[in-house]
Amino acid sequence: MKINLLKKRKKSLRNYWIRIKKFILITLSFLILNFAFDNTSNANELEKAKQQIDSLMLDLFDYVKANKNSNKGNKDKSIILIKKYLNLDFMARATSGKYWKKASEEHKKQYKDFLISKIIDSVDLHLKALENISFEHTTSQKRGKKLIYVNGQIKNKRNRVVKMKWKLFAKDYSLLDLEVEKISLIQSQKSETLSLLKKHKGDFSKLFEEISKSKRK
Amino acid sequence: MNIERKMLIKLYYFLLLIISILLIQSCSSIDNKVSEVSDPFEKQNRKVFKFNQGFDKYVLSPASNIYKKTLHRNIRKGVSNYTEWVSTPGTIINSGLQFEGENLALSTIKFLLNSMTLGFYDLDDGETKFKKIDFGSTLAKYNFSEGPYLVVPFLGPRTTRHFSGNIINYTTANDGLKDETSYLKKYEIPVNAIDKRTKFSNIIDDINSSPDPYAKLRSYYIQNRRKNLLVSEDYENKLIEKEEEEFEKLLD
Repeated sequence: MKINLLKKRKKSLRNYWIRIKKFILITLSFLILNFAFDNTSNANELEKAKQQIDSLMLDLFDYVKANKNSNKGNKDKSIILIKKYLNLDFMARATSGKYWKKASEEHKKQYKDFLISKIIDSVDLHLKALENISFEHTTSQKRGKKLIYVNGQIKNKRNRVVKMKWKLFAKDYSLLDLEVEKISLIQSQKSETLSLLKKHKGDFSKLFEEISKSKRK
Repeated sequence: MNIERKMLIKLYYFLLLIISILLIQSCSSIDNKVSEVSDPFEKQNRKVFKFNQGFDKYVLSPASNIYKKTLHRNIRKGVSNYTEWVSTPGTIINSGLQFEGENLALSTIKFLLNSMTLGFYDLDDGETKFKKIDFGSTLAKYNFSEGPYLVVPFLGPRTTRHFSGNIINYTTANDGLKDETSYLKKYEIPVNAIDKRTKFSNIIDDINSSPDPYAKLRSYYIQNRRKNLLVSEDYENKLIEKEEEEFEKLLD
């Protein structure tokens, strides 16, 4: 009787042990698969982000080529390109901070238009310099769940290298920010906008007045 | 210059440094290393900034235009090389203080090599690259706080830590070059200012075209300064993480 009981217990223990082994095996294979899948999906995301920047640079070079004989580029084409690649909504929110929520819809639209015109002006200002540059991708990396950084460099005729970092939204690969030699365009614009908004207690119409005053200068 | 006067000047620099360090410590918050820029003297800073803008408009910018138009590019390059070379002893000392062996070796080799031309000609044509580091960077390495933002007459934007570093750097760099280039010393500061103004004219024009040039310059300066310090990876990661957090919040 005792022997039978012992045998039964031994058998059940063995079964139990086999079940644990199976469970560990299944969990491990699930983890490995998940890791492999994650890596492939990360690699895919990084590749897509790189392609997005390549495409942006190609479009930019085409734009520069088409407008090299004029000081000002084709404004409509510029707006199309900006809307295609840039996450304007994010840029507007990021550069106006806490004041964004208080702004009226009209002011929000006006502010986004101001950002577009600022980008166009800055590209037009550098049309000549952009004519003779080449672009080279260096690395890409996923940061957190929502951000992808694409690093690269542009070289001019005299082989002067300028380091760039594009920060993209992992969901749609839209451009959130650009760092040129470690200077973030969003940070710079934010500092300027917030200083003016703070001075005028968050009044966007006064901000636009100051902007147009400085343009007239 | 007699010995007493030299001693007095050194004492003056030393006192200035002590005051600056005390200022850094007293005005810094507990953890402002990765926070927004601290600008408690904004009102006064803006006044000095206006003064500097006027100085730039009526003195520096015209001088820089004449410099650019009258001197051949190669001569300007020579002047640039000289101003770089003359500041290298500061980098050598601070690389040592920060135990940055590679930077110390590279800057020393380059300094010795180019001393054959008094720094006017870069004999290795920019092949040897090292990071320029000053005493402000050394203070950062040893966890001195950044201190408040200042605009110094003629010099422009500085953090208190950077400004204290400048004072030390200026004395050490000049001491290192006592005999060879003493006759050039009196031209050093104005030439350096004009050379830098010419080099960065695009950026300065960009800043001046802003509706708030003061805020723009402060942002450019702080970003550039913080990201170019040879500090720990931990500090750099903190900066990046803080920015990423902000971005992620906005993307929610």
